[in-house]
Amino acid sequence: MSNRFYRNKWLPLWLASPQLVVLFFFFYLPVFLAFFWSFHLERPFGGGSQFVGWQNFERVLSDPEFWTSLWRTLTYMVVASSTSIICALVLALAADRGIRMSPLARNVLIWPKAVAAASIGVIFLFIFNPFMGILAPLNEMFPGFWNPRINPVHTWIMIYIANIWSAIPFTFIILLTGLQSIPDTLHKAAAIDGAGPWRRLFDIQLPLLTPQLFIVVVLEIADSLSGSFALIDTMSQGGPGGATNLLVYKIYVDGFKAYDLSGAATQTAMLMIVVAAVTAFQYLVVEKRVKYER
Amino acid sequence: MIEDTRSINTTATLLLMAGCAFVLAPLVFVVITATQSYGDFLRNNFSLTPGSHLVENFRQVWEMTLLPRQTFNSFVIAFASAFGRCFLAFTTAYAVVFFAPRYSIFIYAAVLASIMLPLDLMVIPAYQVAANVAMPINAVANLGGGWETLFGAPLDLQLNLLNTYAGAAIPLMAQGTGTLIMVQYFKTLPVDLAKAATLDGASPLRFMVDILLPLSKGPLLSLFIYLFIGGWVAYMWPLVSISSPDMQTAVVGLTALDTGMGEDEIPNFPLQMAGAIMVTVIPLVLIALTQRLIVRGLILSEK
Repeated sequence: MSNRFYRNKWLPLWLASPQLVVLFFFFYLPVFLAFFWSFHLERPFGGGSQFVGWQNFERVLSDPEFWTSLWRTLTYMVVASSTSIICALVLALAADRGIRMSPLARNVLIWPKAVAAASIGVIFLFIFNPFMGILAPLNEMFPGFWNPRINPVHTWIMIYIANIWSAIPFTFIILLTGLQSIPDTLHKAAAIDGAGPWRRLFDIQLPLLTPQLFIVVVLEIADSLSGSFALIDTMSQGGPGGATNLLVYKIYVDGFKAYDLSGAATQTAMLMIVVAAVTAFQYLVVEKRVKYER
Repeated sequence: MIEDTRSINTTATLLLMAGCAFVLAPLVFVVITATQSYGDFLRNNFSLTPGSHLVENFRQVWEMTLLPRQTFNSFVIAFASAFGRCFLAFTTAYAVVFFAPRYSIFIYAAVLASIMLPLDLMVIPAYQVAANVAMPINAVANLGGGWETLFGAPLDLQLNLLNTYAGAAIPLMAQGTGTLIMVQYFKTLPVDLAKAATLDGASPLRFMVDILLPLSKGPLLSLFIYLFIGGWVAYMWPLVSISSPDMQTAVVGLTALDTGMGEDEIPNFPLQMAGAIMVTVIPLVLIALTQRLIVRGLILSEK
């Protein structure tokens, strides 16, 4: 930080103040309010709040639906981020070979970035429609072969495919950039020493890719959480039978459809703690094992 | 290449072809379906034969639905939020990198903390704030009944941002990724830049506008495009903060597109897919035209 040239005392505060004001209103204040309402109840007929201690937490924590929803959310975070990262990693490894297909693939694989998760939800809902969509002929031959409106497994398959589709660009580009910055000489030296392609993959490429893999895992886990809302709201609305009712969606329904402000705020506060804990764990524990030097 | 790797290269080619097909297939289905008429579609179900109704479908979307108006809303909200985020990122990063006072570390930490929790996780309290932005002023003034003893009644200011462009765009700006990127960029600039400007008699603000801003054109532009697309595809916040269909964004509008069919009828999928094209075409063209910038933006945000 040797750029710190100017000695003005208050000018930096003025320069940063617009961002600080925006952050105060739409980041710090909402975080505070989530915790505030988790310890308060709204008085009936409007008219302020009433301190109720841990009562909201007791209510939420004794609701089995909260626990299944939290468990589902954690499972979704793990499965959604790992499936999309593995797909993007395989594609990045292939594109890194510098074959004739690579430039075209680099171009095409960024396109999903332009399609909103909600739009791809609408599109996949049509493509996977059991009666009108691409699998309709199979459904006619084997009735009940595919029905995401009734069978939760089918619904999840549909959501995971949509998630992979929209998560590919970001992960692919970052991993490909990481792979291409691995010096070619390392490959050559290892090949001369008799290391085959598989050996080089596990002993050179993947270890040297850990910084990129780390950042991709952190971002994908956070992204899978907030991205899931658009997919679920457009494709399944938490159904069938509540099978895809992730915590983000449940909070939305509790707050905006059932008008349970304190309940929704309590769950928001707990979701924030979970996400902050996951991120902190990644930075404090996992990042230590990441090799940054080349 | 290093060794004879024909079989590996064949596998890699096949994998990339499969990847491209996976990405392109839904888009192709959308375009083909959008060319069919509702009648064709009911007769043939899902088919890959293009029809001749593309123009007709677009005309219908243009005249009968709110999507054109909502596309305009999307443009305003995405532009405002991306521009705002670039502006905030630029000034804050300048304050953090170029000034000596140590408290700027705390400013930076306060900004970075916002990256951890996206807006989508806290729509409920954020909605409350947007419903009355004057709320914290009221709360402070009424602390311990202060305002009431002075003026006879508790202070009750109201400023509702719901259903406005500002209410949709400003909360999207409360995210520190842009600042992080600009700080990383400023740190790569030569140390003597500010010194030279001062010797030439430029004030810190003048240095910022006349030297730093032109130098940052590239990174700011890729950041802008990246954030513009991010604002365009945002779903959850527009959905909750905007209730009037006239003010809604196109992405949300598409999910609620009224295709003129009743509840029990089969939806007019060709019309819906024409709508999907309309919602997607602007960011898609933007990505196609600015490939390099986007990629650079994505890579910057990784650091």
